[in-house]
Formats: sequence, structure tokens, C-alpha cells
Amino acid sequence: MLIEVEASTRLFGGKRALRDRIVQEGADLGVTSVAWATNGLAAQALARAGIENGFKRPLDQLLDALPMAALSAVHPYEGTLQRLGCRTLGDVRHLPRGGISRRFDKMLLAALDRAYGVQPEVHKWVELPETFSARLELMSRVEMAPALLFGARRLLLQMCGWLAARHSGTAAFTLQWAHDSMRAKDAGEGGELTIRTAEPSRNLEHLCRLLAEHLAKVELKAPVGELRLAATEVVSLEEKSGSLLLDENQTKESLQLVLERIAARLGPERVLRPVLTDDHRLEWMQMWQPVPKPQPRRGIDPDTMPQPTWVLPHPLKLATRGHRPLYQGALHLLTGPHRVEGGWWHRLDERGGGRMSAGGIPEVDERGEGASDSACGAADQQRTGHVQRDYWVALSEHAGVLWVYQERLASDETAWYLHGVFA
Amino acid sequence: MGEQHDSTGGDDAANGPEFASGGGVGGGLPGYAELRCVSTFAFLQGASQPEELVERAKTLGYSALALTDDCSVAGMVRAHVAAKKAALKLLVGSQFRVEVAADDQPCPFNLVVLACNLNGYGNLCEFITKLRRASEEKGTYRLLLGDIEATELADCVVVASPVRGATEDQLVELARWMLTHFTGRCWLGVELLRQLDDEMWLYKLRQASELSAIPLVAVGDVYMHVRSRKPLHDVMTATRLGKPLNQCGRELQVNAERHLRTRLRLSQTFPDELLAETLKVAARCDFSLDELTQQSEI
Repeated sequence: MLIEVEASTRLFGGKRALRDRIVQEGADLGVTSVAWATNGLAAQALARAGIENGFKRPLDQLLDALPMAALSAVHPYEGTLQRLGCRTLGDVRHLPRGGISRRFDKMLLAALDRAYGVQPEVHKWVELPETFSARLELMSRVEMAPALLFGARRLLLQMCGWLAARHSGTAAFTLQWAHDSMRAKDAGEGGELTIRTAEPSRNLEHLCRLLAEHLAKVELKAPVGELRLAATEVVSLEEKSGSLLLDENQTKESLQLVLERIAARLGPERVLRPVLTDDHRLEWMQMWQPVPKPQPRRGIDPDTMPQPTWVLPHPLKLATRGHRPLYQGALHLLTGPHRVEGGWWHRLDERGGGRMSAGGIPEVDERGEGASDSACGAADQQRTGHVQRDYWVALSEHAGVLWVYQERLASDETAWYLHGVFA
Repeated sequence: MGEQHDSTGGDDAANGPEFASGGGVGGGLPGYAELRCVSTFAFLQGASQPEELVERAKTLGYSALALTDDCSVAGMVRAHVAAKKAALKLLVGSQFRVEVAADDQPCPFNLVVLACNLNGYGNLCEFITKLRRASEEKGTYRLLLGDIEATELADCVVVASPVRGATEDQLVELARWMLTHFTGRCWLGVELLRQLDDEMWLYKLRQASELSAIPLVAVGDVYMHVRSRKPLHDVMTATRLGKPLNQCGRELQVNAERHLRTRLRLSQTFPDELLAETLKVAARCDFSLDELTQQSEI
């Protein structure tokens, strides 16, 4: 790994501070040896030899003393050169140049020149891979899932670096682990865990905490020897400005993080968020969905008609007196009717839950007024979310302003229901 | 042809006795002419064929039916043939969505244009051709308020139906615009489709009418000949929007009221003078496609 640091020293508070940071943080990424010099090849050679500072003495003196293996270009000819009596790079350099270029590869001379700074160095730009996937062999076998975090953290750090370079954040990443080869037969190859974040992030601490919450619930079947991390969903991320004052966005973000952590702890289905949906039918106008699910992109304009503040989970059938609905006394119908029809396409699943599915045209509308089998009608009503109601705003002396509706039953009767209460 | 009968899908109890007097004149009920009605020839908008609409209107005892497809007169011949067979008066027309450019102008509205005579029919057709040719994409058109020249639509009567949610000021503004451009041949259309704010809407329009002396007229805004066509209409809407049905949400019509309603229902919904006004509008239109044949023979 080669870094050009000269141009950045001022930004990082001087050479000494920069060096300290590189040495300290490099260790996390698996860096074992650090060196610097006026050019990359020399620095590489010094790092191999374990000499850190390439500025202590003139560069040629330092390089001359290094073993030949320090330069990759010299390495293939080491045997031949040794037989010629060379021990160090200095020995090679002092051989006649014409002889070297004739007897060895041209690259050898070029590499020497570049390392000693006689010729300029040219580097290729670093190009990051399009996708991120990294593996790590653990130092020792790990038997408890939470302990995987230690190794996973190093992989996460790499991923965060990759994401930062791409100006992106991850919305989902997968941690895979492979069981040790000495595992029991029924343990299987390994396991994996996919973690979704509420919003794209490349914050190492945040991702680590999230991973820790999830790992706490994992039970390993066998000791683990290897980890692999992949960023499965990468979304480009907008940089946040380091504002002095906390603005609205930042406080919002912290709510997101808290919700996400609660969801990770209690289970994603237990933390719900109300979502407005585009539907004429009151009970489908709002839905509750798990927090980790992405919110609909486009906000929905609220209905222009007044809507009740509280909606009953199930409409309450009202008693009637002479075709007039009763609820804590006689109701006085204020305005209406507001007819809502629709939902014949909306098939409800077995649990009666809220997943919509478009189906073929059911036979609901073929059901005539005189449908003899009322049970059949009721079954139809249950299977599809079809409604046909006349809503009224009603005033009750005791219960305030109510949202009631009249619905025609399968036989010729009508029934009144209470569906919501206005604040 | 089970859907010929309005009984499917269940209406209120009032429907029952009416059907006893069904096929006929509906004794004692005020007469009615439907002035705003689209057929399948308004692509993916109407859910009934022109013939079905004409037959249904005849069955219900309507005095006349106007076929007003969206910026088109394509369905007129079929409606004409059916109307001749059923001996129903057919009004020839078309309707346009009128957009407004700036905020201070009146609200967007729907303009129904009905031809009074042969010349009016020619003007209407020219108007449609001009709009269609001006649009870059086939099958679309854009009509801005400022682009309407009243003289282009000579010998036609117009009914403007403003969008719900328009403010009083906008309505007055619209009424004023109508008055200056179509003096003596314009109406404000009232659509009462079982919405919560129907009464409020009628009240607002009444005020605008009183201030401008433009009469109000009842219109049905019909998209289907019977209410049981609503599922078909929903599917057509979804096709038009290019979305699955369950994602169309409030783009679908909230209920199935936009059908040819029975005259009993109409008399319960609209004040009598609004229904009577429809007959006056219909009386102004005296044009039949037959005149075209006679002319070409000459």
C-alpha cells in the first residue's frame, strides 16, 4: 500500500502527527510495517527491511545497505547476482550498467533507477472494485457468536473505507461465517446474517452496534474459522456538513437510529410506524408497517374531505330505532351521504391481514340484490376488501361528532356502523 | 346482458319501486337530459359503448342524451344510429379539460361543447382538429383558458363544470369569464355524486350563479351506462395510468355514481329547476348527423 503524504501533512497537523495516525490506525487494517522515503519503491524496500525513516540519511546510503530481496524487480535474479558476489542493493548498483542491461531484464535497471530517484516514478490510479466483499481468517477459532464481532469489526472498517471512497452508504450488508473444518457433521458449512439499516450509513460505530445486537441472538453450531463480509445494497449518500448548530435533520437521524436499535432488540415486527396509503376506504387509508421497511418515497396528500381523528379497528354495528342509528342515544345525521365503493380487486389473505394483492375480477358484483344465500355474500365480503358504504357525519349528544356509515347487507336490509370519531 | 339492470351492486331501497315503473316514462318525475357523458371512444375513460348508453338512456326515459367524448366526436356515428333506432334525441358534442396558466385566473374546469346546428358542428370539429394537431404526442391535447376564442365555437352552447375544491372567488372569476365569452349560451354544470360536500358545492355554485346570472344546470358526468361497469372502469383507469390496480388508490373513482342514474334518483339528488334546465339546453341543440348526409347528397 502506497500513500503520497507530502501534500497532506498540513491537513493532518504535521508529519509527526500524520505518521502517528498511520501507524496507529494502520494496525487495525492489518498493516505490520511502515516506512517512508522520497519515492514509493524506496519506501517499499525500506518497509520490507524494517527501516521506518527514509529521511534520516541520504537515500542511496540507506538503500545500498539493504538486502537484494527488498526490491521486487531484483528478486528473480537474486541467485545469479549472489553468485556474482552481490550481497546488497549497493553491490548491484555498482555493477557496470551496460552489463546488467545486457544480461538481465531491462526492468531491473529501471527499478533500481527509480528507487534511487534517478528516474521519475509513474503510478496507476487506484480503482476500487465495483462491489465490496472481503474475507478474514480468524486468528483463533471462535465459539460464541458475539465474539465474531471482533473480527467482523475489521471487515466493517474496510467496508466503511470502501464506502467512503465511493461516497456511498450501505443499506444492507451480509456477514457470512464458515465453520471450522473440524466441525461436527450436522453443523453445516456455516451461516450468514443480513443486516438492514433504516437508512444508508457508513458510520462504523453505528454498523458495529447494529451487528452486535443481531449477533447477540445468533447461536453458533460449530466453531468458526473464517468470516466474510459483503455490502449487498449500496446507496449513494449525501455528505452532511459539519454544522455547529444541530439542525432538524440531525435530530431526526438520531430518532431513526434509536428506532432501529429498538427494532433490532424487540424484533422488527414489534416496532410499527403509521403510513398513509392511497385508498378511498378508511381502514386502508392508513397502515402500520415495521420500522425497518423503507417508507414510501412520495408523500401522499391527505384527503381534502374531513377524516375522523380516531378510527375503530373494526366498525361497530349500531342498534337502530326506526331506521335511525343509535349510539349512546339517538344520532343526528349532519351531512352526507358520502358514498365509498371499491376494493373488489383487493383480496385479503387468510390471516385477515393487510397485504394487498390484485386478483382477477371476483364474482362480488354479480351478486344481485336478491342473493338468496346471505352466507355466501358474507364470505365474499371477507375474502375481498370490497366495500359499499354511505358515510355520514353524525352528532351524538354524549359521544360528540361521529363518522358512521350505512351498509346494505346481503338481504334487503341495511345496517349502521360506527367507524370513527372526530376530535 | 344481466348488467342492463341497475339492481346489481345494490342501491338504496328507493330503487325498488322505481323499477316497477321502469321501462317507461316515470310518471310525475321531472324530465332530464344528460349533457355530459363519455363512451369507450374516449380512450380508457368511458366504460360503455355509445349504443349501450343510448339504449339505457331511452329505458330510463331521458328526454335526450349528449355524447361528449373527451376532445373527440369519434363515437358519434354509432350513437346516432342507435339513437335513431331508439327514437332518442342525441345531442352532438365533446368535452375538454381546460387548464389555467396563472394563479389569479379561475380554477381548472371541464367544458362541454354542444353543437346547436350544422355550422356549430363544423366549428366544433375544427376546434378538435386544431387541438389535436397542436399536441406533440398523439392522443393528447392541451387547452389553456387563454387559447379559447369564443368565435371559434359559434353556434355551440357550453356547460362549464369547475373542479371540486374551487374557491368562491375562483368560481366567480370563472362565471365572469364565461359571461364575457359565451354570453347567452353558457351554463354552470353541477355534479352531485354522493360526496360529503355536495350541499356545500351546490351552495357555492348557486352564489356564483346569482352574482353572474349564469344559470346552473344538472349534469351527470357519466362514464358508464350502469353502475356494475365500475370494476371495468377501474381496470381501464389502471391501464390508463399504467399501474397495478391496487396502487391506483384515489385515482380510481370513489364510487360508482357516474352512471346513467334513474330519474327517481336524479329527482332526489337535484333541485327541480336544475333538472328543468337540462331540457332547456337540449332544446337549444337542434342538429343531427342526418343533416350531413343530406348535405353531401346535394
